[in-house]
Amino acid sequence: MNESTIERALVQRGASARDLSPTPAQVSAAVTSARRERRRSAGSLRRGWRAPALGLAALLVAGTGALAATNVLNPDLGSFLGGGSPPGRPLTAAETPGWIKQAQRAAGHADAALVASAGSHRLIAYRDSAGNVCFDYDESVAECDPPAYLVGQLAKQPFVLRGPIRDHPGTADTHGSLFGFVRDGIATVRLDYPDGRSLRAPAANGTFVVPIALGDHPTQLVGLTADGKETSSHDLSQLVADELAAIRVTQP
Amino acid sequence: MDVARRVRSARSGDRAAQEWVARRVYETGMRLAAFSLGDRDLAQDVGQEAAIRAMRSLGRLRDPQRFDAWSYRICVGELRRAAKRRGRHAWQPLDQAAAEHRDEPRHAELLAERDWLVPALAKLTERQRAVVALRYVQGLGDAEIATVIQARRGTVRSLLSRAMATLREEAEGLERTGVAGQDQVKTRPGFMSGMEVPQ
Repeated sequence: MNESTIERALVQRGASARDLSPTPAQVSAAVTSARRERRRSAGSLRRGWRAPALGLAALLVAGTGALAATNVLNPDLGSFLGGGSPPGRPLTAAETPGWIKQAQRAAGHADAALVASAGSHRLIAYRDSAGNVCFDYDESVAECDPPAYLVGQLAKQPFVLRGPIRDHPGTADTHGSLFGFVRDGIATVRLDYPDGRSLRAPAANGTFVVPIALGDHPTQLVGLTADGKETSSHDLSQLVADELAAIRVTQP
Repeated sequence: MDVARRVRSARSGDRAAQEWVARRVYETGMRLAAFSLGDRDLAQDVGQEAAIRAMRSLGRLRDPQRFDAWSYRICVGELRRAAKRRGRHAWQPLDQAAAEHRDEPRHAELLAERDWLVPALAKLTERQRAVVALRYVQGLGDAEIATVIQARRGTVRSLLSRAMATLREEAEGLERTGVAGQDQVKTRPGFMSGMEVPQ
């Protein structure tokens, strides 16, 4: 048997193989599975995960106009999304929750930082073994996504909100907190209420945490510059009211 | 839309772009595995696993322009894992098959249905098999293969040369035992007929 005969057999076999393609259903299933596994990889590290009923309601606040992603990111947050260390204060070993230590061991590094906080409420950032950026909202909810996801969201809107998240998931606790990410240039966020009250929180490292009473419905979210000038706002009354109504717990 | 742009869109969460990327990887993995392993179930597994792995790690791809080489590398990795799972003992050598069926009247017919290339490819090292598959399925040149397997061009040429020598030895061994003749040194039509082929 000569070389050209073998070559011909290989060429024919290659041509037969090139006729193969997955069906649309198979492709769709692979994409769905990848997304599910990514979520599970974050969720499985957590203890006491209480997901949709109380927790993570992504309130994507529509803004006006889209900007180039590079112009909208807080530099420290942008550095993290670009592969650098998480912004904020690095967590000590004693402060680092067990599930994050587990993720750090899997990822082979130890970067985890307290990005923003308000009282006992904490927003922690770290990177998982797949290179996703992870954010933990208090003790009950976390998410891990490719950096491009958050970059894309902030390119489309000035705020990306997460929450409200109840202080003690699975209980009738009426206290919780709103977390969020903001575009560069927003130094403070303000939640306005119908009765004239407002809550303010600093936007540290392009993020914020605002403790709230779950029974109150803020009507507006406002972004302020360092000198107090309003740069962006969005009407939250309907959106947040719906979210809060959905998680309201009837007292016994 | 070019590959890099679709990859960027997929990373931003565009579902259609994600499906395009997943299909491209799935297809490559499936084809390389079908060529190398000749097993439709394994080929499906390799394609699916490669697509999922690629989608999960798409955020780590630094240069979307190099998506194809990156995805080939993922497919070759999955192919290697699948080959290990299957193990070399899964193939019954044709000379052994011939001995077992020598007295049966359908001996010749049985042998004609067998695909000599599958066990012959199984004799190759993992790297040789990957290089041969990338050349004959994807049509890659030496330089492109070198990028995928992260080796020099000379190494690729050497791997291909040794692979061809091994295949020739295997084929000649089969000829000597009268198992594989010139007319059988070809891919059996429909050897992957159980797989779905889009019309």
